Amino acid sequence: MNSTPDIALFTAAFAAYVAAFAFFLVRSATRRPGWGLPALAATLAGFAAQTVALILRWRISGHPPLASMFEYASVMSWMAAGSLAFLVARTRRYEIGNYVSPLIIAMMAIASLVPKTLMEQLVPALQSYWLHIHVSMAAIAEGAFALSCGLAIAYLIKERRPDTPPEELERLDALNHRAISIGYPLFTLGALFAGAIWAYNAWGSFWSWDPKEVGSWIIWLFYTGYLHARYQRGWRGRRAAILAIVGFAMVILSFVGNLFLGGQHAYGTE
Amino acid sequence: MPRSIPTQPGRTGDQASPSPAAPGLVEQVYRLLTDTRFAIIVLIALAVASVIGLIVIDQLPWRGELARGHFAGRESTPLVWALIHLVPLSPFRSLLFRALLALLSLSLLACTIKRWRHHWRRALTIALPGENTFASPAVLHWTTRAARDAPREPSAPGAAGEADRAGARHKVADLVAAYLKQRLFVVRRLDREDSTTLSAVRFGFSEMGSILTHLGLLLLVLGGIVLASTGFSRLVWLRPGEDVAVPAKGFRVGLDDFQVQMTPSGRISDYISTVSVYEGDRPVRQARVEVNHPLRHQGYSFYQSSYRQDPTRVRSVDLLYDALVMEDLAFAARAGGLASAAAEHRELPARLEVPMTITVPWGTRVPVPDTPFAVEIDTFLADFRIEADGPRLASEEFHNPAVRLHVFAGDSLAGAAWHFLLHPGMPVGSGLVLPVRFADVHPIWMTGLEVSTHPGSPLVWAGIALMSLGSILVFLLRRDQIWLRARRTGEGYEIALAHPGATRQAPEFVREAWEKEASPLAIRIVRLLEPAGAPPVRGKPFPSAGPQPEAGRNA
Repeated sequence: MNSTPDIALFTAAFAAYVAAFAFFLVRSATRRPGWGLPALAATLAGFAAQTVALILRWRISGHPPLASMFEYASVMSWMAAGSLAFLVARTRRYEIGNYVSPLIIAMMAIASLVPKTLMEQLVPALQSYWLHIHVSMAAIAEGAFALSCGLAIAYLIKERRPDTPPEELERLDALNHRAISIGYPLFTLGALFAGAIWAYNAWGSFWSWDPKEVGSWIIWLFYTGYLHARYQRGWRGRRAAILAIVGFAMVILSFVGNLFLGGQHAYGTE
Repeated sequence: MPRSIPTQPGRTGDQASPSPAAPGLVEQVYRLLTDTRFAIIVLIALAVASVIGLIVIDQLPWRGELARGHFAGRESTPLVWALIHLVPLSPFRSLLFRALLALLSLSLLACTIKRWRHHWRRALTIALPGENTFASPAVLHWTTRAARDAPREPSAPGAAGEADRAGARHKVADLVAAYLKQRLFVVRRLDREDSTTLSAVRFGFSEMGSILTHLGLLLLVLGGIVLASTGFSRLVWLRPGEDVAVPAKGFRVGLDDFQVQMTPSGRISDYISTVSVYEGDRPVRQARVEVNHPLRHQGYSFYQSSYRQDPTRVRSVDLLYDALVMEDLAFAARAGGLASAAAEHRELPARLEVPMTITVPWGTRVPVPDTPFAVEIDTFLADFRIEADGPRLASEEFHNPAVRLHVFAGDSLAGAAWHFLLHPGMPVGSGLVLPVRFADVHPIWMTGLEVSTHPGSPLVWAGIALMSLGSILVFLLRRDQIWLRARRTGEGYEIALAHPGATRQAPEFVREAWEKEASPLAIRIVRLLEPAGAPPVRGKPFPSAGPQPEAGRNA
């Protein structure tokens, strides 16, 4: 069952995100604000197509689309696209799209590379309401980390331009921090705690140092360090931006780590 | 060193009173543990150790157990000791990793102690504005038009006018207090002769969030260490009818039934053990144990962890034979004795004239119809392999199922032979070997129950609860504080609103949020003070104090 109808919509969403990125770039390159609207529209169109794709997949399989690497990557990019559209529509700062949409495209690309087989029957361990809580919260948190990474890249690039007003940098820094302050508690509660409680019920131990657990633990340690550096040591601006980028790189590493490290979290990798 | 404090001549270090420049060892350690830089270094070290641990799990060949075997007798030499104790089977249980966790715990504890009082005070108290609170350029000011336009004349108002004004100010304070209380603020009020000041705090208790998260993490780390050190976990394989005893608690869990449910496409959809708990011989409880639904009894947990087919026992095997061939064999045995019959009829021909099947259950001697023979299963091996000392189970998978059948003639054992499911034409044995084909096997499903105890789990649960609550308090309910001052200035009034979050450094949009909240309130206040006056204007403080804020705009 490799080509369920949702895959076509997924591809359409992918194309829309690529188009959105192109429009965002054209807008920046030509300095014509008129390109902003098509870019936002394409992002929204991609988001809508992906929403339908996810709902379709849910309906066909009978379980939320959170049970394989493809589904997880798709939900993660869907979250980031939704946040980007919301942020751009609300703040009218289209240039954020230049930096966040390539990350969405990267996540979509990863999703398109892993097997898309639809599992109509979940393995017994996944048949639990914790699937909804644990995986959706983790995906939303990592979507927020993706957003913060895009904002951090924007910060670093804009910082090098002499004509960038300081308020612009402040705003990017604060938005970056905001994204991490949303992602971090969700990650703590959803990825770590909900995961630990589920593991306690399903596998018999809260924590078993499975590769994915170690990955999440490292990501959590890293963002904990980020928040302490920010609150206690006053790390802002460039340093905070670099940390946000490294943090998301870890998220991606932990995600693709499933493919070569295996472990108990390697669902739907073959 | 012109600014250094000279040591007084004649005073030795022993006599010197403790000075801030020379803290004691405990003080130094405490300072180190409460230093954020130290905490960040520990976090980084833990992350690095975890990365190494992740690689070590699969990659490093010389872990503790191997080292113990390889360097037997030299376990006390430092290198081997280190290999055994610092690099054991699980790197996450190594001394090194635990030392880092201990450092993290100490740092968490020290930080909690150090910051407790500060956060506790901020959670419970409502501080009045400081000297310069209203002088900050980020403070919002509204003035009544009368006050703004009127020249400042230090007139001597009559007693009645003064009382009116005081009444108006009190009304203002009441109005603002009611408004803030509606928005969940706790309000403290200070009336002075010419001004009324309100201090309001919302979600002050969220100040405890950071303490709770740190304490929660401390409990989690401690709970984790207790669990890893004292927890017990063992996989038990049970066939229906068997049980696992927990002598320490005086109960046993017996498997009544085990079902493996499949979808039509052959995927496993669920596997369910039905068990009974016995105390002595008395059944006290019956339960279904499924994945995600363990049985917990007297501190022991039973998880549906795995399933497999019993590699050394079966429910039954199906044997295929030819009625005519078997008849010939029976005749030969009667006529010429078992030895000649055995020599003639070992194998079943490829083409069967009258194919028959006989099912032989485990532990039952089954007569072969129309013959004086009976068969019984002696041994079953799911993965048969012959080795120097005889047949062995090569693996627990059903790679090469083989059954050893005993053949009885009357009551005496006439022969025994191995029959192979995958090689039906090659029975191997001695004495009378029946010409039968091992056609099918009906396996016994065994349930794999993980029996475990979690002695540190209350600590873990408390840690998860505290950290979750703390995270919600820190990230969702931030402590919010505002100060409001209504002050008479000449003939009019000035309203000033200060918010600690609104500083010159804070980005504009952080200020926007509370300005949006504060503006209508301030306008209502000014209106209350001067109902007949012109609309109030958001603008410069009056009289102006400190640097000027942004240009006034109509409210």
